[in-house]
Amino acid sequence: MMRFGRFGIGLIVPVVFFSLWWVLSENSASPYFPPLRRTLAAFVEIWFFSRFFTDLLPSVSHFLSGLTIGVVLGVALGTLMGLFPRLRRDVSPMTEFIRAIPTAALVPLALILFGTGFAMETFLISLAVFFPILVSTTAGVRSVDQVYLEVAQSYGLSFTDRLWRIIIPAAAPHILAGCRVAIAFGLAATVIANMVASGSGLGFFIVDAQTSFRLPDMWAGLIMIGLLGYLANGAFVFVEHRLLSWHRGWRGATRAARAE
Amino acid sequence: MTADVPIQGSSQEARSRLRLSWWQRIGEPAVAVLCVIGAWELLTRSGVLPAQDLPPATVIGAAFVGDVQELRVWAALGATLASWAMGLAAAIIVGIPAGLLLGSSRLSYLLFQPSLEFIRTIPSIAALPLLILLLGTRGRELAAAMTFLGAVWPIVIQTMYGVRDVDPTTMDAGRAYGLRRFQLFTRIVLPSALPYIATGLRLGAIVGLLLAVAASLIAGGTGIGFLIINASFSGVPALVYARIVLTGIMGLGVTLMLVAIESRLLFWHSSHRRAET
Repeated sequence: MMRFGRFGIGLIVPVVFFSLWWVLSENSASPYFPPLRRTLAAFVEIWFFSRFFTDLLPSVSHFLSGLTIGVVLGVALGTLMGLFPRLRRDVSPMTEFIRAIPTAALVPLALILFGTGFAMETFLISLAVFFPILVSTTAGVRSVDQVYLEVAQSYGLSFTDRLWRIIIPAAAPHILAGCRVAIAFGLAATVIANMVASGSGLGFFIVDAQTSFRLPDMWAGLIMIGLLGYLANGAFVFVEHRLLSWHRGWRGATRAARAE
Repeated sequence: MTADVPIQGSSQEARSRLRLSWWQRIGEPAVAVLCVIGAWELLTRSGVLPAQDLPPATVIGAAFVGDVQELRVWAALGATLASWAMGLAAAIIVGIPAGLLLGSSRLSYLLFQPSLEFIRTIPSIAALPLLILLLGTRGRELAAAMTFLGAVWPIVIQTMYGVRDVDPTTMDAGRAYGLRRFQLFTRIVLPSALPYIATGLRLGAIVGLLLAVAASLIAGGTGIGFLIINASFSGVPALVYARIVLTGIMGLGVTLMLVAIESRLLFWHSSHRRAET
């Protein structure tokens, strides 16, 4: 009941916002701010029919493949850097430098290396995703309680067992926090890659709509990108909750035990 | 961008860092960097990697040295940083009061928090075409507006969380000592929200810089992004790499500056890197 109440209150602002948008834009004479009614009509026509396969699907699939590659590599290197201080010291000057380069500045480099298309976009997205995951995984692995590792070692657990049963689970909250940042970065990278150097995709679509002055289409594209961000985040929260439910319970249990 | 990953380790690590020798802290990492650059040079010179796409490190270095002697590179860096500073200042002026206001009552927090969390998941870069129409691509306004758009959300949200996280017991104590509303605000709410605000500023500043560079890269104009894309049209890969390195140095400089400001402002705070997760 309480949960629903909070949820309901949170809905007031968006409902008011969209109602105002609808009413105020209905007789809008400005070409830049077309009536919401027309924008929504364009939205349905474009994303359910004409541009679904040509622009929406490529962007989503590039985003997902870049995200997967970036997460896997980031967790792998981050685990190594968390486990071995010497590696961390020697590699971090380089990773910190590359991390400081704005994603957009790397588009020309990706173009030189891969040309246009799937490989270039996936490369760029996975690079944008890689660094937040790397940093958070390193921090997570370093935060593992030393006592657990020593106990595991004294019980004779192999390195693989320690990795999968202690290190990765203990670092999971950090890794997932990094994933959340990475999703936002990856989505931005998808749009940027589309805008600079593609003949298709969401970013290309809104720039193309803008330059050819199809402004309801541009707004429809904007709404679609917002919706994707929302869905990606929602999916993430769902997965995080499932993956970490044991963790929250475990933390609650230890807290209760301590309080006794 | 909800979770802020601590940049530096625990105090335990600070202690163990003291035990590291000079060689472990600086010498060996420097040698590692030189090894990578050397390997790059060797692989590209010997033709294992295609030198057409991946110029040898020395060629990039030469392009870099030649490039930074030209005024226009500095003008472009200056233009990007000026737009960034303008946008960031606007985001601070709007964002901190808005966050303080939204966080100060439970009702406004419940009303706006879900919407703000939704907005932050939308990539701000998507607004670029609209802003191009409204502001044009010639001046600094476009990059400044993009910076504002990227920076304002983290600042509002972190400030809001900071105000919500004020310890109620401390507030009660303040009231018991007869502090007035304004005094409660300046002596308790503001100091205890400051670490959150600082995190919001750092996140916002970095996202803002990304967007300022992206704006000049996509829309053209006077910024460093335009110079990078210009180099790639000129067909000299080494120059592209050199300018990307320059942009990286700018980004690193900004990041280090922000971390330094944060730790200087919050040296008194025991856990000043604590962030909302």
